[in-house]
Parts: sequence; C-alpha cells; structure tokens
Amino acid sequence: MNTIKTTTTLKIMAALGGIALVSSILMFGTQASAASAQGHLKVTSKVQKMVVINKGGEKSYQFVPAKKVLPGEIIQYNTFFQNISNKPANNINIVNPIPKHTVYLPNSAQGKNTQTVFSVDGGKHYGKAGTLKVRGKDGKWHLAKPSDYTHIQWQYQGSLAPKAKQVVAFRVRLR
Amino acid sequence: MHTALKNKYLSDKLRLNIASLLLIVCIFTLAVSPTMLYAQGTSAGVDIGNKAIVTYSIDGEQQNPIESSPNGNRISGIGGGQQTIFKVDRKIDLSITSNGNTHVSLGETQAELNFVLSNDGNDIQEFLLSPDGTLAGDNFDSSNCKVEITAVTGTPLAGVVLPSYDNIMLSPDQQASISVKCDIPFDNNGQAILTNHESLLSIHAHANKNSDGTTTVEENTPDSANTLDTVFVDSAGTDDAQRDASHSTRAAYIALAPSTETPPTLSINKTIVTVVDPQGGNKAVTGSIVTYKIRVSTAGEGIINDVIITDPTPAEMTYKSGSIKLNNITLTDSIDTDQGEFSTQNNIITINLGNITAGSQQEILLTYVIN
Repeated sequence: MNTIKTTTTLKIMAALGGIALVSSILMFGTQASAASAQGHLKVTSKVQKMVVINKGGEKSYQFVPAKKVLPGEIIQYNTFFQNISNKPANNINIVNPIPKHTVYLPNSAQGKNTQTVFSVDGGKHYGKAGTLKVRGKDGKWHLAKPSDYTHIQWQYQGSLAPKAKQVVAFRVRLR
Repeated sequence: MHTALKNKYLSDKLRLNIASLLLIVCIFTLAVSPTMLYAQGTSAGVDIGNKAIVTYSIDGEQQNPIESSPNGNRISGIGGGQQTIFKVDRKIDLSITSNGNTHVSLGETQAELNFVLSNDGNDIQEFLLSPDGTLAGDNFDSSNCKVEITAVTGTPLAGVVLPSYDNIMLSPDQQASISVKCDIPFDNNGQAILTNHESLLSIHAHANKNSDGTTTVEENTPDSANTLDTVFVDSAGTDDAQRDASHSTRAAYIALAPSTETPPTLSINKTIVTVVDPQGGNKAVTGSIVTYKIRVSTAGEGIINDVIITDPTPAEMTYKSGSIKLNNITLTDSIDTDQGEFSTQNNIITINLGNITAGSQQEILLTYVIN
C-alpha cells in the first residue's frame, strides 16, 4: 500500500510541477516554484573560480567568487546538503548535470562517504569513471573521455543525521 | 523499495525530468539569443547555470527530490530550486601579423604592405587600425598612409561593407586582410635613399568598440557574478604593451633603386710598383721579380654588387706563389674562404670583392717572376 501511495503522489507531483512551470512562463520569467511542501534537506549550489598561483615554480590554488570568468578558466561547484528534519535521511543521491558550455575536469569529483558515478547519455545510465563507453564517429564504441560526461551522481553512503551537513564538489573548465 | 517500484519511480522521475527539461529548453530559447561555440571559447554574455538534484528517503520511504539553489533550497519537487548562475565575461584579445616586407621604387605612390588581423576574443568587436610610417631607427619615412580592409574570413557581420577603411567589426575567430598603402619619398630630406635602405611601418590595431557601440573599457571595480565584465588579455606587440586591448607589428618598405643623382662609379688601374733583378738592381731581366698594384676606386653612393677582379699571368712570366695581398693582407692561393685564389690550370688570379659600398677604395698587390 505504501508503495502505491508513493507512485501516485509522484504523478500528482508531476502534474503540479508541470502546471507550476507553465504558469511561471506565462508570468514572464518569474522564478519557477513548485507548489510543494518543505523537504527534509536544504540543498545549496555554490560556484567559485579556481585561480592557479605560480610562486617561483611552486603552484598553489585559490578560490575566488565567480565574478570574472573567461573561456578556459576552471570553475568549482560545491553542493551542500543539510538535513533540516528531525529524522535521519538515507539513500541520498546527488545528481548534477555538467553545465552547458563546460567540460568536466578528470578526477575532480569529491565527497566524503560517497561513491561517484558518471553518465555519458544524459543521465539514463551511470557507471564508474573509466568504464563508460561512447560511440565514436566511426560507429565503434570507445572509452568515454571526461569531456563526454553529461552527469555526475554521488551516492552518499550511510545516513545523514538531523542537522548534519555534507558537501560534494566537482570542477569544470569553461569552453 | 522493490525493484519494480524503483523502476516505476525512475520512469516517473525521468518523465518529470524530460518534461521540465523541455520547458527549460523552451524558456532558454525564448530568453537567450542563439549562442555559438568558437575556438576562442564560449561567447561573452552567456549565462552558465548549474542545478543539482538530491533524492533521498526518510524512514525507508523515498521522498520528493530537492533541487539546489544559490542560497539554499528546501522546497521539495522539481522546479523548487534555482540555477546557480555566472555570466561568461568579455575577453578582449587580438593579434596582427605581417605578410612580409615589400620592395619599392623611389617616389612610388601608395606602395602596399599587407597584414592579417585576428579577433582572438569571445565577443564581436570593432577594431581601429592606425599606421605609423615615421618610426625612428630606419633610413627614411613613408607618408600619406591609408588603411583598407579588403576581406574577412567567413561571412562579414551585418552592416560590414568591404572594402572598409580604418576600422572593422569582427566576430570571434574572424580574421581580416589589411592593406596599408603609403607614399615613398624620392629622398630622405635631401639625402639620397639607396638600394636596400628601409622604411619601417608600424600598424596598430585597437579594440575600441563593443558590438552595442559602447567604448571598450576594462572594468576593475568589484562586480557580481551576473554582470558582463570586460577583461583585456592581449599580449604585447612590437609597439604596444600587454593587456591594453591593442596589438601591433611592423613591416618594412625596402628601396630598390639608388638615387640617380649620385650613381656609383667604379674604375680600375694597374701599375708596376717595383722590379727587382737578381743582382739587386731594377732591370727587367730573367729572374726579375715584378710587383703590380691593382687599384679599384669607387665613387658616388650605393652598393656595387659582385665585384670580381681577374688577372691572367702575363706572357713570359710566372706567378710568385703566396703573393696576393688585398688591402695589405695576404690571401692564400688555394680555393677557400678568403677572397683570393690562383688557378694553376689557367694561370689566372681571381679576387672576389663581393658587394662594396660606393666611395671605398681597394688595393691589390700581385707578384710575378720574369721567365
């Protein structure tokens, strides 16, 4: 019974979400907001620019607000998720599409207690880095390059206690 | 969650995502003009958005997903969050290169030099071109220089008419062919211009206007992630500094003909310097050593090219080996790097003076023995 209820709710959610979006378009670009209840998590996405400082051959990195960003520069996204309910949250999955006009930087996805998987087909299928394949122009399947990645998914291991806050991060290069 | 249910849930989620994605695409298409990807990178002004989606369960029950927002979103459901956005800023970068020097005759009007200007930035930019033919450190100056933009790669931007003069609007990665035409003087303020004399020309390109007609200015004041800033990243050219929204290079007009007022002249004469007979006297007898002097005199102005002096051994005489002297320096008889040689096959001395400046004097000494 429980399971059926969930699916039904989702369908209603779908309908509501659609209406909300349509109405937001009619309102000429007012921020889309689903008529949904408060969730159990607070999710924040922050963007920063990574600056490489070369002091006498020794490289260090600095993160500054993404105010001045030019093609070729490196951007770091931090996604914070905090449990704002009074119950532990489980099976937490964070999915982040690689932003348009950017390329994922190899090995840059991070996150405590997470397993990271990637998609090269718009988020339909996920696999570990180095196992994904894409069809080349020659019609053959090749190992996917990080630039082929379309989505990253962090599978958070274990439960997130009430008030606990975690972060996952990744970097991209602006095309 | 059962696998079947999970699949059902995922397929619902997928449908949701596709639906919202389509809507987002529609909104995006309506709000933003089409953008193109260039080798110089994402176009200036493009908003880069990012939104993460978190799914989770409470008490074993799958909850509605929550999207991210820049300042923290807690509203569940698709559409509850907001994109975290930054705007791609305007990169000002350009380069101008020369297609090479050109030879000119004196008094030539509108002699042409060619250059290529490239917009290496990520936005449409208007470039102003200014030539300078009065640089220091060369032999003469050109004047009355005019700049003409004869062609661009790809399709010219709307409003661009070719040929264009002094300025040109280029899209990212687009290149323009620049023709600079200047007048060449007959002389350099009364002084003769000689063959191979150079006149340097500097061409300076400056990104002066943005596509909306505003002046291109670098912003140094703090801003927000959502404003379009202008950043200069150009390298230093021959006559400009780095990061100044400018680039410059040089090419030379090379004079072909010397002035006709003082043409170079060359004269040559040969005299006997000494005759020493075997008895120590100065009689011309068998065994007497005769030393000749060949004098090459030049006058006027310019360069006299490929001057070669040959002296066949006189009849009844034998060349005294090792006796060639050029300007009092002994040259070897063999064929080598120095300028003199004696051919034992045809008994001819050859001295290769090469290119000599008009006005200089050369002196050659040679010695023979009377048979």
